[in-house]
Amino acid sequence: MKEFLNKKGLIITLSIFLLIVFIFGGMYSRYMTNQIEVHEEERYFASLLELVEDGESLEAFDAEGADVTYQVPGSEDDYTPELLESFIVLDDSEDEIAVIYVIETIGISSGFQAAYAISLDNDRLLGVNVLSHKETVSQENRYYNKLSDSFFNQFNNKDLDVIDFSIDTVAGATLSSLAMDIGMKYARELYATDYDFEIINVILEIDSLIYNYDLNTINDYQFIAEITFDEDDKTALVHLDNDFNYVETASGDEVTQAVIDSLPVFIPEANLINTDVAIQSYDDTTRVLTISVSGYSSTGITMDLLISSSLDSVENITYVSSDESYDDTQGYSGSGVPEVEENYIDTFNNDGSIIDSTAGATVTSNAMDTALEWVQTFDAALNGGN
Amino acid sequence: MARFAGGKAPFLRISDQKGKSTNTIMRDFMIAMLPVILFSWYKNGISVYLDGNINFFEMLYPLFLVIMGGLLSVVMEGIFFYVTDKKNRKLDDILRKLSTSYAAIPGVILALLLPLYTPIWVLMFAAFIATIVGKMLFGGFGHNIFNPALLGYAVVGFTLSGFITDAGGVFNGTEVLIDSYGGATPLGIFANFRNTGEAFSFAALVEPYGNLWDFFIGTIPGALGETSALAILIGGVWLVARKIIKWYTPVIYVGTIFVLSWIIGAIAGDAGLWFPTYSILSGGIMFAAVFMITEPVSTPTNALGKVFFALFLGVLTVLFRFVGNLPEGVGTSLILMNIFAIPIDTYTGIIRTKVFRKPGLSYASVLIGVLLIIVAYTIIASVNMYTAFLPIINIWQVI
Repeated sequence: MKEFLNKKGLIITLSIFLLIVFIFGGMYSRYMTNQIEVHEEERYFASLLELVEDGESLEAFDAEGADVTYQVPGSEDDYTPELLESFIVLDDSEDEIAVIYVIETIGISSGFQAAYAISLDNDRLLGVNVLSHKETVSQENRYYNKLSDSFFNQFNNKDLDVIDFSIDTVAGATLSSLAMDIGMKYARELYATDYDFEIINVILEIDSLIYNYDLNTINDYQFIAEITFDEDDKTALVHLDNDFNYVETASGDEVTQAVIDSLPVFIPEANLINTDVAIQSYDDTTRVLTISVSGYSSTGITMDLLISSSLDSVENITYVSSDESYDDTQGYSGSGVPEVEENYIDTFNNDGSIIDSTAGATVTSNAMDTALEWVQTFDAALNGGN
Repeated sequence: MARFAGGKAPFLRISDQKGKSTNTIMRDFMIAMLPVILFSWYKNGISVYLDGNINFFEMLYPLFLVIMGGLLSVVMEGIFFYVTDKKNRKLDDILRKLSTSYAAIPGVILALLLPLYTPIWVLMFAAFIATIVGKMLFGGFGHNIFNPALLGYAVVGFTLSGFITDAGGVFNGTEVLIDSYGGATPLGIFANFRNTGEAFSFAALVEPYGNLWDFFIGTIPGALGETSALAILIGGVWLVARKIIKWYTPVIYVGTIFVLSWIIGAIAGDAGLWFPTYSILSGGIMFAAVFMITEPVSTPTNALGKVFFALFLGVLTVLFRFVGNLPEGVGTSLILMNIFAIPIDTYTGIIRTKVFRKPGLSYASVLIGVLLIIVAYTIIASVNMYTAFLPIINIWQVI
């Protein structure tokens, strides 16, 4: 051996060593790189399986797709989300228990990819897993980072067989919220196509909506709506509460349960009148009507309206409470809450006019503006519009 | 009686270690690197395997890379000896030459400087540059101008870094799962902050990776051998104890970076010790301090020379980190200082022998003057990163 190496064998051996390292070492390096993709795929599948409690394995399948469009958040344009992948989830008995759709939607930018898992047993959305996105994350507790567990929990065990199939968006992360809301809805459409699931479809049109200004019935219902429904174009006049829940049918055709369930969803979307003012209660002994209006805070400003003894006008308004706050960084220089509210009310009580918006308290001003305009309309309704 | 050694460095004090040849340095260097090698294998292989994120063969790769680095350097040097010396082509001749030329060390250091997913062919190319170009073409061990491993690393860094990134880069199988890393090493985040001009913060630079203790232990992303200051320090203590390196060279180098970073941080309004500590524990500063700037051939040989060399190196590292295009700064500054090792050695030799005479004072003035100018420029140039500097600049402009 040593004799061989001392002749030409040494250079041959060393060269062969280099060659072997180059070939087999190269294969080893390539294997390492390939393993990264393998591990990424394993983690990806594992993250999908986590959505389904008893899921053991995934089986890819070709979804039929759904031809529906949604509005691009923050834009007038429409688009169809992109179905990237679809999987059937099998349990340890190889039974199909769920389906997962990986869907790309648009938030503040395109490329919002999330997986939506739907149970085959009970037609419920089991959960969602955001896989990748290009939403704004540079600021802590802002934009996408505002989406907390309570937001994501909305997707857990959500029934598909409801009219109001949507989630509450998060203020400050509205576009990102809508990306997931649309993805969820598109997943339901895909599921309906693939598994003959029938999405509740209600034909309902809101023809008009007004407040109920009748003091005799104002505690019973707060809105009156004219509706047209069903394929036969049936019509009805219905009474509704502050949340647009059905109270009773005043006249017209008998409304179906599906229409009743749909009213709280359809009426806000119809956007016929400003409904920021809520009628809280009317005491016919004291002749005080309590109303509230949402402003900077959703709980807003509450005030009492004293109705005249002849019940034909509003005598004055009394401030009750406010959950507002003014922004001194925007130029508000007065004293704190409820200065703005009381200024509005005092002026209105004095001469019936509505003052201009207060700098630094614009949202509160707008709320008071809305409330006082409502009072003017209500006052006109009490005395027959004279 | 005084004894003098002639020829090129290194000069081993045989009187301290009787019966040992220059193999002693090589052996002690390898022993010193063992903690670093073992930690890098544990961090990037064993622990990731135990976490269940990679398989057995993947677990072996970090160790394989380091062993291959050393072997490739030895084999390439052996081939070079064979090709260039026709009279001594026997196995014993080659082995004898290899045993006195530190053949494996450049390759091992090279592997420790590279990311985990460096392809073997890239390592081969780097070992070729380090061993053949950086060392043998200059005349072999004792004649190289540049640190061979560093030259190989620099050439690969400038030419083939894209291949390393494409192959997987620096993150091991566990690190890729850690969201807070966001796909960036500590120096990567440092570079982002530096380029955008945002003021540094502990929350942004340190917290994504845990705390400074994690930096010291080495459980942060980075090249194979550079993350664990603890393992490097163990190796450094061994080398100092064995009188292979002088303790003050790494101490002055790291100390210079610490003080300068502290000054820059203090001027910016954040005088916390976390920033200079973060500075010396991120990137390859600790590794370079112990294993590279103490390299006996391409650095000054006399004590004062080593002091000035470490001072210049520290200042330049900070300068390149804060002002240059690349966030690391260690390699660039060391290559630059390798060029000036001989002049520094010469000047400091004159200073030591003629300290109170005119030539000595002149050379000392030149060295100190240049050093102070670079220090001043480094601090001023760092102005771009700190909004806290702006009031000072405005006053300056008014004046």
